[in-house]
Amino acid sequence: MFKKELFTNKEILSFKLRELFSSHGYALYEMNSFEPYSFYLENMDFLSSKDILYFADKDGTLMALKPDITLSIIKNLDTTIDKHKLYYSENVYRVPKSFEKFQEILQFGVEVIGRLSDEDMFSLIYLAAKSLAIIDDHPVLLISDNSIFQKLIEKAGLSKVHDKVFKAFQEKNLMQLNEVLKDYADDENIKIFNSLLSLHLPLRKGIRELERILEDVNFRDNIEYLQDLQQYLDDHDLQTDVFLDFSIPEGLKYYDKISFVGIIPGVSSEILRGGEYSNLVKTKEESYQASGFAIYLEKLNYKGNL
Amino acid sequence: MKDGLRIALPKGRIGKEVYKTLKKIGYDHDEILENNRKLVFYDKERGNTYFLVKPSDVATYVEYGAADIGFVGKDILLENNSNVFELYDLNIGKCRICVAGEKDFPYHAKNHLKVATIFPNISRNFFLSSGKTVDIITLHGSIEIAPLVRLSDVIVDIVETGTTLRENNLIVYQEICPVSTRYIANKVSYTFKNEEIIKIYNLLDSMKDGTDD
Repeated sequence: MFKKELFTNKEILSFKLRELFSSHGYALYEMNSFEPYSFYLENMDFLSSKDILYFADKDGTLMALKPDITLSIIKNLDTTIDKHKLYYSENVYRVPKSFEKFQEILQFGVEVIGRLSDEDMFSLIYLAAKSLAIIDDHPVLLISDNSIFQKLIEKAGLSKVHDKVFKAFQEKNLMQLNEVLKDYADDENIKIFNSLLSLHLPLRKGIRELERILEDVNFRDNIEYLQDLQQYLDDHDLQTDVFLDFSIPEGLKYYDKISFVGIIPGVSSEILRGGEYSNLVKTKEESYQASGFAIYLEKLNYKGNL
Repeated sequence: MKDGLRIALPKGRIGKEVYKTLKKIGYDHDEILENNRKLVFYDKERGNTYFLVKPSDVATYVEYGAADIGFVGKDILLENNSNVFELYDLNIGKCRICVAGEKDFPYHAKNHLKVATIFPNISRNFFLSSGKTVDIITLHGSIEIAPLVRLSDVIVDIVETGTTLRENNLIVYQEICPVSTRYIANKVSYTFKNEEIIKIYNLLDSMKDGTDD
């Protein structure tokens, strides 16, 4: 047996997460080669960081050090298989805002990809919440449904100011939201967007509030989906706090339906980020859907956990 | 020690205005006003901690979670692209960020400009969207001198009353955006200290309606 004191907290945490993923039927995905730089350029909309570290391979082809793992997983999928359940523990190369130079960052991620049921999607969110509970005693998972935001924008004819409305949501900035909407939206839509931006409630209460906000517009499918998710989490006796909040994620183009972030007290930004990204995986296989999340362990350094 | 809110307050004139507003909504701690060099104040009764920091640093303290909430100018939020929640406009310290320069300079006819400013990011974004190319020269104060001594063609600076511009024979060519002090919160604290953060929001909002007077 290995002695526990031989391992760092980061290594022990990594083992616990791998144990969790493996016990839920996820297989380890290892990425031992590099992708061409052009591959990432073509998929720039789906990258969280636009900075890519590249080098010339022996034959002169411009290759990249991994800025992301999910894109490679999708690229290399065997589409004859109905369902892929994968996790990875890989170094990625990105430029954090606080450093402004490239850093090697250990990233954990989990992906479920294939011909999926709602239950597959819910089980991944459940796994995200369980992962958070391994990392901290008081985590919170914040959930949003980006498709509601997207549909509301389209229904209200606000595509022209989509980015400004989205930014106002990211900042929970009611002043900015109303400044943008005053010339483009009617009173009813302004009220809906205001209520949606301010929403921050435990999932069950949040769904009820969402029903009230959206009662005059047809979002029954979205509400039922969230209610089914709540039911799934209840059935599996999830203890982690889950909130509904529409201000969370960057990169709407990536997460096209449910998205979520995980936060813990004492760490100033999210340590987990994920969601459903079926639009991306459909570029590979039309009948596929996908959901996944990544964990940023390096952020725990701030709390002295590692 | 109670785990109350950690509040970043700007030092100086705007800080005093912000403090007056906080006092009106019951978040006063008079030790802050005492003329000493202390920068951190703990309010035992309410459990809140106040930091007095440079105005341009408030958003940084909040973004990185050293403070849960803060009060900061919109100019700083725009310049730093701060990743915080911007919850309320206090309408304190109202002014504008403007492009200004000498009266006889043909600003609108020029497609390329030398711009002196303390706001390089705001300036770059503004001129990019307006189709002009620019050389940005970053300064840290007394911006009005730059066009007078031919360091730049124009300046991008805060304009409050316009007196400084007038006294230096400069005029405003174009307004970039209005500026005032904002109530901001760290995105994680917003969840873990939601009740207190929303309470302050509601108190500030009730003052606007005059219901708290």
